[in-house]
This record gives sequence, C-alpha cells and structure tokens, in this order.
Amino acid sequence: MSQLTDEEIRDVMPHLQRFALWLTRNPHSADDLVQSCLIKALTRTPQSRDEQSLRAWLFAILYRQFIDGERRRKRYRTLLAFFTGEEALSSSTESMAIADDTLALFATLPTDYRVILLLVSVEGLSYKEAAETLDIPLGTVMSRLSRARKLLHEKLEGKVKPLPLRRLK
Amino acid sequence: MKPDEEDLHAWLDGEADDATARRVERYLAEDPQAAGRVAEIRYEMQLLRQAMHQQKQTLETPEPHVFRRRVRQQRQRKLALACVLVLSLSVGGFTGWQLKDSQMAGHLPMEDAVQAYKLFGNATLTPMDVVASQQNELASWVGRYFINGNLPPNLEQYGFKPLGARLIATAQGPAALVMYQDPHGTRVAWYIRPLSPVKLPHGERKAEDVMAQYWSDEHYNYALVTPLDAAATGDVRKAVAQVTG
Repeated sequence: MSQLTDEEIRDVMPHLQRFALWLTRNPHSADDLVQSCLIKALTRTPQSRDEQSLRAWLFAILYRQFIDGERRRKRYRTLLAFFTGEEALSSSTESMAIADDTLALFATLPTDYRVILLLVSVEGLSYKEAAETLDIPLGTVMSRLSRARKLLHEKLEGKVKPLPLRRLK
Repeated sequence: MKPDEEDLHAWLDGEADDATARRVERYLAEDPQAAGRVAEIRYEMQLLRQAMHQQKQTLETPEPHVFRRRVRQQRQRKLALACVLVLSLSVGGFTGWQLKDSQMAGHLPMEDAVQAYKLFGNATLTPMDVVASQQNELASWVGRYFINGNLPPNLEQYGFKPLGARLIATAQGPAALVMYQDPHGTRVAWYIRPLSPVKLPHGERKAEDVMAQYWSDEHYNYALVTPLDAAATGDVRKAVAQVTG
C-alpha cells in the first residue's frame, strides 16, 4: 500500500473542500484546513483504497485538524478576553457568499449539526462511517442526525427560533 | 409498537434493519401525518444536496504536487532540525573532549609530587615539618591530616629510612611529602594528595631525572618519586609497581 495518488487527491478534493467550507464557514480557513489535512494524509498510508472509505478516512483527518484548531482558537480567545476584557468576535458567515436560502439557513445550524448532515445526507456516509469519522458512538450519530433535521426543518418552515444559546462546538 | 424519531431517520437513510423497516413502513402506512413528515424531511435533504452541488466552490484548488512538495519541505525541515541537534551535540561533545585533553595536557599526572620532590629532595636541608626516623611517628603524623588514607610505606628492607615529612597546600586540600634516604644519601619521596581533579589510574612517568609512579585509592592519589640515576632505587620501584599494579 502506498500514499494517495494524484488521481485520488483530485477526486476527493471537491468533497474535502465542501466539508472544510461548511465546517469553518470561512473560505480562508477552509483552504488552510484542506491543505493541512492533505499534508497529514500524505505522511500516512490509507488502510483501504475504495473511494468511499478513502473519503471517510480523509474526512476524519480533516475533522480532527478542525477540532484541534478550534481548541487552540478557543484557548487563545479565552486568553485574549482575559487580558482585554472583551469577547473576541467568533467566526461568522459574512465572508461566504450564499445565494441559496436553504444553504443560508443550513449555515446557521450549530457545527455538530452541519457536520452530521453533510456527512450522512450530502456525502452519503453510512452511520458507522460517520461515527468513525467523528469518533462518536453510533447512538450519538442517530440522535444528532434526528435533532439536526428537526432544527433545519423548523428553520425552513419559517418557524425560525433564535439559535440555542448553548455552544455545541 | 410506534417507532421513534431515530428509527424513522434510520429507515430514511437505509440504515434500519429488516424488523425496524417493517415496523416503520407499517406505521407510516397507518399514519398519513407521520408519512407526510417523513416525506418532508426527505425532500429537505434533497434540497440541501442540490443546493450543495449548485453552490460555487470559491476555494483554490492546488494541484496534488503542491501538497507533495509541502510534505517534502516539512520532512526536510524536520530532518534539518534533527541534523542541527545532532551537530550541536557533537560539536559540544567534541569541544568538551578537546577541552578535557588540553586540561589533561596541562596537568601532567602527579607533577606536584615531582616538583615537591625536587624542592625537598636536594641534599641541602630544606626544613621538614616533622623530622622523624621512626616509621610509626610518621604514620601518626600522616594519619592526622589524611583521614582514611594509606600510611607511608615502610621501605627499610630496601635500605631507605624515613627522614621527615612536609605538609603542602594544594587547591584541593592538604598534600604531604614523606622523604626517605638510604645510607648513600639517595632520597626517594612518597606523596599523598586529594583525589581531585581526577582519580588517576595506575601509571608512571619520567620527568627529567626522576620517575614518578602513581596510583589511587578511593580517597587519595599517591606517588612514589625516585631519582633515575641511582641504582639503589630499582628495587623500590619494582616493589611499588608490583603492589599497586
């Protein structure tokens, strides 16, 4: 078994970009995330070569990088708030151009919900693959998916409630 | 039994097992409202998928070789870092070794014993701290200054009698020279001093017209300094070499 081929990288690229974009909701962060994900992936050897599991494998790497980055950012933000007494602005969707209403509403979902919908409903990962990618139990995948769809449904119906206050990151 | 929310989603995603699927289908057939809700979710997910596929990707798409190059650069950086580390360690180690060598070169082993012998070994009477012809007098004097040290050897069987002893200060503490003389006026000296800077191994060296044999125990360095030109000292040297070697 060898490293990813150029062909495999080209094939998976749009999927990684989409995943990164909706994770970060910021094109620059998404670019960085895709880059660091592929660089990390190129230092390893994938366990399986079929397209679907290769994609899941890369999603897992990308997601791990994202979580690590968020943790660092949060720590930095807390530190900043401690010294300046101000709450630093969190990332927003303003740097992303979204023409579609559905996507605009989707963008307002908490990160965990966006991720699970992307993996299962858009990328077509199985529950098991999604659970492995996010490193969470299968039961959590199911409950999160059902809550995510419910919230999106309410938003689409126009019954838009303010975002739940608890942070889901 | 009524299927729960998660069962409905699992069925929708094709993840439900046969039993659950049958249960969900029966439930949806009996409850048009629930069936409507599930259809809505299915539709919304289609909507999402379509919107996702139509959304223009504004991200840069570098060619794969760009990533490979980055990986290579990262590896080279790590390798370079490791090299720097190894290099600095070896430079440090080598310099240290050189330093040690040069220090050792500056310190001829037991040079102080040789110098002390030269100072006190000449026939003119440089005053001794103790003038003793008895072995045990000398032994008790040495014992006072050098705890746990060896006592000066008895060299009478080789014709050498103790003449006296002299206390000498070194940077590491007191040292002492015990002078012996044979009936022909040949003088040999036994020397004791603290271990530092280094515990000397057993050895010997010649300096001009004298020979220094040296050895160590746990606490002190010792030396026997003998003149090279006197035939009478050959036996003493042999004896010392045997005992300490």
